[in-house]
Amino acid sequence: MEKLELIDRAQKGDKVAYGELMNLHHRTVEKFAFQCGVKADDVQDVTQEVFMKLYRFLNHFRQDQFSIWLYKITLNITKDYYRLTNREKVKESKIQGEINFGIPRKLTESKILVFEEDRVLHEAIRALEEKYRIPIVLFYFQELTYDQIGEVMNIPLATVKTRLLSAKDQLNSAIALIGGAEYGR
Amino acid sequence: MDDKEFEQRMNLLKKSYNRVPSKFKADEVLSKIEDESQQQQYGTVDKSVNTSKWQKNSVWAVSLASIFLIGILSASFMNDHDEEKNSTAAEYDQKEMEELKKDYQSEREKRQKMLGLTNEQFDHLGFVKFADSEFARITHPDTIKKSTLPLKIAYGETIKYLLLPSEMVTSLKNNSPLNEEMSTGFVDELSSKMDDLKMVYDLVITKNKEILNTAKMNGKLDADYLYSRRKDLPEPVQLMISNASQEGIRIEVAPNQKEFIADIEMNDMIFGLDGKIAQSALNSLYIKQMAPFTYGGELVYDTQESAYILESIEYSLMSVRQRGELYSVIKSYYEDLAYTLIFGSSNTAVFSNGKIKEEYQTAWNYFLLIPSVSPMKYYLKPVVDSLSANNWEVNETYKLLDFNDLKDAVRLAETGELAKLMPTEELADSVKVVEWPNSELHQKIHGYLKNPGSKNPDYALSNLTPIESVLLFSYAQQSDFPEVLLDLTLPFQGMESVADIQAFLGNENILPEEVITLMYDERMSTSQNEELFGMIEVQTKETVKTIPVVKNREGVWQIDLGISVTTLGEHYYEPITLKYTKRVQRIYEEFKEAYDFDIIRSESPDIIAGIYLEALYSGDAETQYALLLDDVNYLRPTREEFIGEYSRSADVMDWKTLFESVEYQLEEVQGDHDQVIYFNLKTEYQTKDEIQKGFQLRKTSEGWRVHFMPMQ
Repeated sequence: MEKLELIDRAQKGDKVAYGELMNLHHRTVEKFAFQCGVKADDVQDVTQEVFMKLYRFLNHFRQDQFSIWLYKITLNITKDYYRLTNREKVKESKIQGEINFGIPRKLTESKILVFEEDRVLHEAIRALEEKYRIPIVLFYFQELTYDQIGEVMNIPLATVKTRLLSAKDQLNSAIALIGGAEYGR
Repeated sequence: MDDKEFEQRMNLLKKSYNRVPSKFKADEVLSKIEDESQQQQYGTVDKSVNTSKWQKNSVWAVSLASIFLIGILSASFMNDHDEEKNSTAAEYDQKEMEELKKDYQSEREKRQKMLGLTNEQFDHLGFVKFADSEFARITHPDTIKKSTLPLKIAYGETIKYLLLPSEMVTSLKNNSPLNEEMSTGFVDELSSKMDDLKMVYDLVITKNKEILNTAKMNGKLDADYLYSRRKDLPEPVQLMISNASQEGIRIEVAPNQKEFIADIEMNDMIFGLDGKIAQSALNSLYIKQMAPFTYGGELVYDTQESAYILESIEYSLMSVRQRGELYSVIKSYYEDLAYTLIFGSSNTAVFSNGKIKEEYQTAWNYFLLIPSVSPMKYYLKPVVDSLSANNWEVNETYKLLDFNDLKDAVRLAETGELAKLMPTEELADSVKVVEWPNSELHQKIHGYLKNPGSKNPDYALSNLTPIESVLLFSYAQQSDFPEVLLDLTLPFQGMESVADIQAFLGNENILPEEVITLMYDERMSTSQNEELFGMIEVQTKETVKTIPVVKNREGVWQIDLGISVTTLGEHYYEPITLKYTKRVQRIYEEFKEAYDFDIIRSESPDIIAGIYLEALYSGDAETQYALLLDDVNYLRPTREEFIGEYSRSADVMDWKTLFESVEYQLEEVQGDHDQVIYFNLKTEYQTKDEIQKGFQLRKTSEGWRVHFMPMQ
């Protein structure tokens, strides 16, 4: 069945169609959330949340805007996630100290980012300011056009371009500083 | 690392991301969606079966339910559940369940103590009833069996329902500001909880009415006196007086002066929320605090004040994008107030002896001056035109006026369709600019001086425009015509005679002896007690002189000698207040109707920037484009490129919330020139690198224009 037809049916309340839509798009959301900095263990919760929210917004957008909204909603939810995890980090470090913090996460993530080179680059992207991180992720990993990135982020085309350039510069500097380029695959 | 190497590394990382694990099950999401809709149904049933005197509370509770249920789901990961999230509710044993119940009871008791209410009173609070029913639901074995939401998370959300208004406000202090959607949910919840509390406190008052009604000063009930002698009152009243104010509720004398009531007074709360919630949501709370506007069908405020309030409410309603419960409440205030202001009440007629009373004429005329899209203006214009042409005698047009038409106009405004139907006006006429010296005007002014006090109607002072009055005053000063000075000076204490005026002015003429530009902006004038207050701006190369003028009841524009002078090159600073943003929004609404540049020709750069930011926030790319500098020497995309790249933005922060002030150097440079003005960020939005944002404009012969991407 065509994607637009699925969206149309879902917008009319057909939950089976919405289920199919979720099956088609959940990998995009999972990967995008992880690329945006969500911990691997939390990706599933975030993905569920995205589709719960998307369902509530189903009738708010045009069918051809489905993907843009999927990214917009994921982005909003990851922003909330960031706020929360930052708060939790402070709290956990107060309670437990830094010794045990993050071990399960690192174990899970090491299964995804097997190579040190990837881990360095992933961390460097995570460390970018959000306004630079998101265009990089959307352009290189989600293969969105400048126009689409502008739509997702509500910024003009020229801003997308300048932010991407700046993000690249920052990443290059960060990697050079960490020495990540020395690692081989 | 060169570009090629960078691309390669990014590609490799992209492939690694394919290893992100997936445990996603679409069925689980569908089941949660199902749960959500069932929970909403549950709320509806609750509403329909409750017929007690607490029905109002339950209605609010039901409305809260819809907000909270969304909250449960949308914020499910926003809890302290890293440890617990894998332990499902089913794993809770009896002991843990008992502990949860004990904890809930303790949270409940804590709030009851904070409010100083008895068990019965506390149990009657709508939000407590809702929290109780939620707690019962989430701990019910059937729910635990079916729910995929961990019990601890559901419990955390349930406890949030118990938060008192003061706790809700405090909880925002250290968090990021809420967006408009969240702000709407927040004020709805806050408002409904305050209504619940007000209702319970009103019951306490009713129960103790006899003793409370002894709190009188000079035979009249007096709230201050009541507060001062609280120690003599029964304990429940003492506790109420001590605790209610923490929750934004004060005991006041009712508008009928016969009893005390609990009234909402949340100045401190609103102060605490400033910058934390969207401006439109904050405005809703202001309006709620000012309510009621009618009592027993009568106006609570006087007619003109009611007209101002109605305009503010209308403005607030029109600027709301996310409509929640409080929006409906405010809309009902709007309708009540509008009805009473147009049709009067059983005790107060709007007309006497077949003629509309003057106070109502003024109030109705006031709505016709609203420059933006206004249902009241749209609704009243035909009837005011018809009545004023008929010496304000009640006619068929007024008798046939149907209030439902106003409701329809509001609906059209909500869908954005009213803008096309609003009566067109000669907007360019609202700003008058005169270059002086000016031989034609000189002749006219000279004619007046040659015929001082003439009975010839051609020389009646009431024929003069405000600018002409100022010119005549200056000419009379120069040529020594003291009677004209006296006629044209606004009388006030200490300025009753020619000698007073001359002593006050000395040898200085009110107008400089050089080439000047005089400007009068009708939109900036305000009417009060049948007088119109405005100002003339007199600009020279170095200064701007502001001369206040008042059109008196005889129709003569008089000069208020409280004249101020600003030297250009001085620093200009304007706090971004509600008054300021309202002015920007009005000009924006006028301008966007037809992009008539005469409307903005004389506006200052901060106003033009404000219009641009308002258009940006409204997702109005057309207006942004219209304001862009159109000059071959400067970058400007085509209209299609520009419009294509902009869309309605839910994420663009409201400039009215983001900035606290605007400032720049007042410059007087001949010809076209660039200027950067600075919007200062509110403290909470400042970072160590950024405390203000520059905005680039260019002064052209047609007024200020915005550079492409002005804030980059």
